[in-house]
Amino acid sequence: MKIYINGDAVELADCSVPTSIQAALVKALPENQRQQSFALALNGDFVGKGDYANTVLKSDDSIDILLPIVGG
Amino acid sequence: MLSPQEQLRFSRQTMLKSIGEDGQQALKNAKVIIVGLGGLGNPASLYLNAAGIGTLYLVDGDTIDVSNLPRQVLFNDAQVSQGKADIAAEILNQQNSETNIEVLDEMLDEELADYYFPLVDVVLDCTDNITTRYLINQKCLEHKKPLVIGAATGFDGQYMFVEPNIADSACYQCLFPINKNAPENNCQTLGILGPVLAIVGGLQALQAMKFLTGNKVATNQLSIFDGFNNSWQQLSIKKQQHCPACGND
Repeated sequence: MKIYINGDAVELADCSVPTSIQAALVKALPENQRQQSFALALNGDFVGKGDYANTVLKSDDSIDILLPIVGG
Repeated sequence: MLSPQEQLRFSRQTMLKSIGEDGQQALKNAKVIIVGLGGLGNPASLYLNAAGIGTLYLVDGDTIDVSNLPRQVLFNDAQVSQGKADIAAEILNQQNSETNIEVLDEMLDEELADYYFPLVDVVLDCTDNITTRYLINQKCLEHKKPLVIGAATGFDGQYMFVEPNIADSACYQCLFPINKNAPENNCQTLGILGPVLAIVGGLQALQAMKFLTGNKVATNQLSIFDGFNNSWQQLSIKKQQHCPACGND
């Protein structure tokens, strides 16, 4: 199953097993990136951190990871 | 009741149906705290002061650096090394001497927030680091104070309004949960153009004025500005029931 993270295609190997946002992040992002503060949108809709584990992805889903801007 | 001089001075604001004399009186009665008198706090304080906000609390323990001058437009060469909050108060007093301005020339901490946030009607987050942003968010939740958040680096900006008195209003930590690696990049490390700060700081001032005059200000929305491509994007967000800052459990 192919999904997109910030526009980049990511192949998730086994499409017979439901893949959550949490699982996709573990597969696609290095640990130091996962440990950053960020907001996430799935196909343009915000998904809170508490829902990463129970939100199942489907083929061609698009995840956008948005980092906080902190300057001022 | 506005004086004849105030009616004349603020006539272009009071002629707006959504402001009127009642709205102008509300601005005059209002107390606003601006945390950070850098690139965002400069334009935000200028516009709020000019608009007739009654009391402004200016919080910043930093001093003016020569590298601030291209974007922190209240300040000039002769003021380098002087306190930002002090100098901002001087300039703002020249702009509108009717405003009651209180200078807090130190960095915001818990104690300062606990003392001053209960005194104000709205809080502006114009800071440049995420630790203080989380602290302001937490203290606004604790003291039930509306929070107008602005941020900018490079060509990019973010804006969000948190209203703790609305039950389903998402907070900053619902959007950006605290994690192990806090972002450290700010204007010092990523660069910035002044007009980007003017746009975001101006937006913060506008939303504060709308709120103070009883107009609706949207919650649960992150506004994202791309100054390079001239575009705005809105991300609808939701309060998180498990949010450690504002959640119900």
